[in-house]
Amino acid sequence: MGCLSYLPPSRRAREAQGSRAVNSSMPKRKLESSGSSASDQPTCARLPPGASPPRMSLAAPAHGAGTVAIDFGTAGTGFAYSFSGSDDIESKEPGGQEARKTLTNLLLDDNGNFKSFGFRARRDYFENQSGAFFANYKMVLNESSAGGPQASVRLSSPPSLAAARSFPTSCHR
Amino acid sequence: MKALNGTSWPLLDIVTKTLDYVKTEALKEAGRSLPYGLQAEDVQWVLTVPAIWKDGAKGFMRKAAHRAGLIKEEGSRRLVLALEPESACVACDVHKLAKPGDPFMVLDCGGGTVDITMNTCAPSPELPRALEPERLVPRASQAAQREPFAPR
Repeated sequence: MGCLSYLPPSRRAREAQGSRAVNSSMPKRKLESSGSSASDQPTCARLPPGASPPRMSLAAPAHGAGTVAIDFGTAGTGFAYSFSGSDDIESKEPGGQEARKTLTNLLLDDNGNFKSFGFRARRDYFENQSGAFFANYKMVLNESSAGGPQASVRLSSPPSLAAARSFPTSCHR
Repeated sequence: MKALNGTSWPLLDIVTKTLDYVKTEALKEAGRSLPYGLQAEDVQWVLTVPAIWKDGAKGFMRKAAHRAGLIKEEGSRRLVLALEPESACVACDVHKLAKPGDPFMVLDCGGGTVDITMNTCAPSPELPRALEPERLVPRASQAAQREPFAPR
């Protein structure tokens, strides 16, 4: 339930009216690690009434020195970063200096240790023909067995349409 | 997950090693200009996921990110899973292209898949900027994903 804290105060007030429906429809929605530290826990549900929740934006991340975003794609993978207080976003190829993505290809050695990733992994594999080479593994991820029972988030009852509308989908896990 | 040479490896290990590598490279690159570099715990992480993914797959990514050392607890708020079409809307300043209430389609023609989503631009006149992802509330979200080129 970390989602409410991402809403701007004005909208949060407006949607507080519908919050009873939200709470009753998602009572059991909890993250798995119940033993984590207080500072790192979603706290929005316990914010005092007048407190303004933290805002999430690219320029002012909720935590730390900056934001790093990873685009893990089926064919290509890239990342971008931005420092707190700056609007500049740098995007880079993992393992290179180009502003492009590299291939989502992974090469492990015969013992399962990391060997190389991206264009380098493809080159290494096709030059030496050794190790375990993987491509297109993102496609397997959404198949039902991938997450396993403990990875899925269970709701005791399906969320109402109002609840679904009042949360930015990016906050859903 | 089968490798090209026929050996099988756990998918979680493969994704974890991928995220670990990208994490290391990103911290190295972003920390070059900082005197003491950049550590994973200094960073707000964002990982994009397809809009059509089920919670199980999102939980899987969170688990892999935790194992790769991006976050210290699986439920950490230092990792946000952002939907790919919403991230695309943020990246292209969709509020400059669409008025509040306008429906629009995001066509993401990637190297491996084509993803199509329908969205409606949420009305929020009280806010000065439209960049916050919460301003885009997908209403009738339909998603299609197929694999036109890639052999499995």
